[in-house]
Amino acid sequence: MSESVLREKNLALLDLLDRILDKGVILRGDITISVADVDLVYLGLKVLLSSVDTVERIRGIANQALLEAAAKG
Amino acid sequence: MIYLYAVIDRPSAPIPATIGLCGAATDALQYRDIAAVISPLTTTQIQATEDNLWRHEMVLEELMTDRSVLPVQFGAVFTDELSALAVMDERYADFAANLNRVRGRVELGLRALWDDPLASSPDSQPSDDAVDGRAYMLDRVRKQRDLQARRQEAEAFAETIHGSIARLADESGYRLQVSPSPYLNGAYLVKREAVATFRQEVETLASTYPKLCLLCTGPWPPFSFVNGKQTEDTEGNEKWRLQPTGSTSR
Repeated sequence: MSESVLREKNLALLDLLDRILDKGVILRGDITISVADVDLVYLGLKVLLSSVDTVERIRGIANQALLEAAAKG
Repeated sequence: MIYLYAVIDRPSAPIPATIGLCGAATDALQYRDIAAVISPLTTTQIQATEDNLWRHEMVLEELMTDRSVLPVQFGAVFTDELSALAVMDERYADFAANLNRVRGRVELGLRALWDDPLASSPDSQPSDDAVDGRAYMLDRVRKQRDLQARRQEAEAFAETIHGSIARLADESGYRLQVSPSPYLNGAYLVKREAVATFRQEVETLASTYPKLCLLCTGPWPPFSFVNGKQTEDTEGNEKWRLQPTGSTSR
């Protein structure tokens, strides 16, 4: 895979994370999920997309949302 | 144990056969004229891995092909169907209204990065020993003014970029980050038939502003438009603004 294709793929993943973890209908389920893996996905992206300086910020927002959800649940 | 992916309309039409998390087939759990899309879970240890996140997204994308979909945030796990139905009952009015709002529409994402001419101006550091209080304060004031100017310039350009494509959307919103370099992250709720025109407009933007780095993603399920989050989030130097645009919203 060329570097630009890989980069686009990872930016798409970043867009997915931004949406699937931070947006969408928030349903308070009966069980909360593990937050640890989200960190890993975001950290992996941070390495791959080091020039996109927003990864850290978005990761912060997503984690915040998950932590809040966990606190509520 | 069940996992919940989405709330949909047209419950009488069979949903596409898709495999959800843990390799389980998805099913529709009808409540009045809407339904929750679920799959059984054999474990409570669902983790937010890349594979699981894409699996959740794939289920949504399959559903989007022939009906309105309210995407649910990753990680909604219920002990049983009764518990999920209780939520459907509690939030029915909200779900039905939102299904109407997003019907026939998809979400497109736009990321835009551009150079900030003021950011590259050399930072004249006052030398440590030769600085008096007045010079120090003047320097602080100057830096503050620079930042203010950069912010205004970035905001004006962001409005130009966002405005030129938001007119093709029924609703839209964006976040703007000013430093270290300007960065816009926008979301647009677009009628299916307007997707091609929207992409065309993004290409026009790219050729109008060659130094602008643009990436258009989607169509996504309408993640950014299902909570009615009309609040302005002013965390740090970014803002998330959602507003109805265009003449035919609702």
